Amino acid sequence: MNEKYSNIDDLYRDKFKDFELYPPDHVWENVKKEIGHPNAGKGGQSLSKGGIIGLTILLVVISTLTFYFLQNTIGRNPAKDIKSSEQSGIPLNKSVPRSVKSDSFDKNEKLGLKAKDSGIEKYQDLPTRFDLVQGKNLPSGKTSLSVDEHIIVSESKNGQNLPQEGQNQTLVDKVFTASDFNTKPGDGYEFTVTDDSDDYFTEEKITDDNSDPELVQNNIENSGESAPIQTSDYGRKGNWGAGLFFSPEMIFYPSSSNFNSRSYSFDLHAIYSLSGFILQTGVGVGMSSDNGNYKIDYNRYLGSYDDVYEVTFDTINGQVIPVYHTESIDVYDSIDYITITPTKRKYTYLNIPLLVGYGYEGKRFGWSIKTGPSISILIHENVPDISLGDSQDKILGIENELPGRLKTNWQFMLTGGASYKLSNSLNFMLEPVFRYYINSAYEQNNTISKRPYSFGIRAGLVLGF
Amino acid sequence: MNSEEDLINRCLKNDQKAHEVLYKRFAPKMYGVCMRFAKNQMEADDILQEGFIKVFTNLKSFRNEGSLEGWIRRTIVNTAINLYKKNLKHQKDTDLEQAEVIQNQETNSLEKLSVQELLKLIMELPTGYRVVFNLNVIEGYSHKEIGDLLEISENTSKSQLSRARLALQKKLFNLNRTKD
Repeated sequence: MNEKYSNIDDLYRDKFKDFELYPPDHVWENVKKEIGHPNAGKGGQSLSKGGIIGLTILLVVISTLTFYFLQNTIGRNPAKDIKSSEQSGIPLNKSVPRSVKSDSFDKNEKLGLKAKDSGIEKYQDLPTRFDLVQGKNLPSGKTSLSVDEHIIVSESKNGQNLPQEGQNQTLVDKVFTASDFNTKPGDGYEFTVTDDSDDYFTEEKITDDNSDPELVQNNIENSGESAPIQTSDYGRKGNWGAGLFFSPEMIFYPSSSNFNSRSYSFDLHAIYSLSGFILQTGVGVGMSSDNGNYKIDYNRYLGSYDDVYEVTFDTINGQVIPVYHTESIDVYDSIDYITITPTKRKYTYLNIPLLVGYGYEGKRFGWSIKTGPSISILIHENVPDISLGDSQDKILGIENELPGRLKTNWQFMLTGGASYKLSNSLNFMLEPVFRYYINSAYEQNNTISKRPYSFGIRAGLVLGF
Repeated sequence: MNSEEDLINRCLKNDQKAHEVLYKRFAPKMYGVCMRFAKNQMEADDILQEGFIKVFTNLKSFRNEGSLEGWIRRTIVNTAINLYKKNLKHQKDTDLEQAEVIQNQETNSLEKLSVQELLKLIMELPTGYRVVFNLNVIEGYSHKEIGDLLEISENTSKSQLSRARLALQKKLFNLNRTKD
């Protein structure tokens, strides 16, 4: 070597110290694709932990605000309320007080009374229904009510029964609709209106022969007049329910039919309904698994020998004794072997759906259809250990034939199902569930990265509050 | 986008422009590293691509304890080693014993050799020689570290290095003779 490069090491070290070379453009294009740049034509990048938390908070906030908005700003209508309660699949709870405008206004006006004279607030709360059902405070001549009656109850004030201008009057001030007794309006029930007070009317029958409760006609027999019961701006709230569901699903992979897999999930959902419209969200725990193989390259263990790596000499009783320092060296076959080991990975996901939809429920049966996004967050992964049993064979390499799963994936959900009323506050629901995976649950660049879809059946119980 | 820290933070926020800036800042130097470890340009492309994907996906694990360039370089070198190990069973280092001891070589013209010529020589080395030579001589890994990385003994590493040097000497001699 010359003076500058006394050995080959210095030559190479020096020459390559600042060596640079421009890589071809396609390398960066490929890197861009792999790290999920949208303009590289691929999405599906997994969310960071912060992103997941942020997204969850966002979902909760949006849900809360939506509920708040619906509860406080939407115009109220008792007839629709009835429908709403029944269409949502959430059983109606009769103890919920609601604010109604009395139909008696129209009647009182016909009788020459004005609302202000009646002493009734435009909107007033009707605190109890059960008193009536239990036979208390019933209008005269009645000791009980059957479930198919709509009752307008009269009350007297200060013992004055006849409504007279400027005096305390007998007022029709409470309206009880079919829903209060868990009956369905619009089915042609005949309702009895009883008033024990005066000459104007003592009893009226209302035939509910129209499917729209807003158009129910009343017939005032004594007066011979016929006037519609006016629909009023009723103040009311939607209905809440909680559902517990179990959903087995089959996931299909368009690009690899052999890879189809099953999943199971348990979900706890909150359901809010208003005027037939349904908003549903909650959390669920989903479990799925992948069956696959590991390809293991290995060298067979043949045995071992003691290798002398150092010899020292010692003197014992005047004699020089060699001391051999050894170490055990394992010996392996130089031929590479390959073995295929089946494996099963198990995954646990946290599922958060946000569904909107519409539903209807009759006396016993109902239906609903819902759609919306759902996010699945991988919270646990059970990966079995890879080994060659008890052998001492040396593993050279492991090729995992199972693709990795992404931390998060999004799905579009569509459900349509039926409900059956088990009791006034409990419904059984059964609904098919279709999911389309907006991004694959698997890492990119494998044969099953195409967007899968799944079909399942969701069964559960919904409890109305 | 001036400081390295700012660049890293923007990359961590998935700023695509920052990704590109980081790549373009370090890719040429890293490609030089890849070329030394690879047996051809295609393999170097693969190492660089795989290495930078790891850089971007694992950037959050960079703790600013050393230079970013050093961290990226280690990632690239590890990628090259993984590729070497993966391909190990397919390789036939038939010329392991063919290296001859070339002594008293005329080395006056060594300084005139271009990097490209030296790179070509190193790429022609058997893979095992090339990897050990790169790791020890240029990257500065000890034989113990090389042994751990490549799952070979220290002695094997030393032996491979020695043979790599001899092989390079022979190639340099032949190259000089051709030039003369």
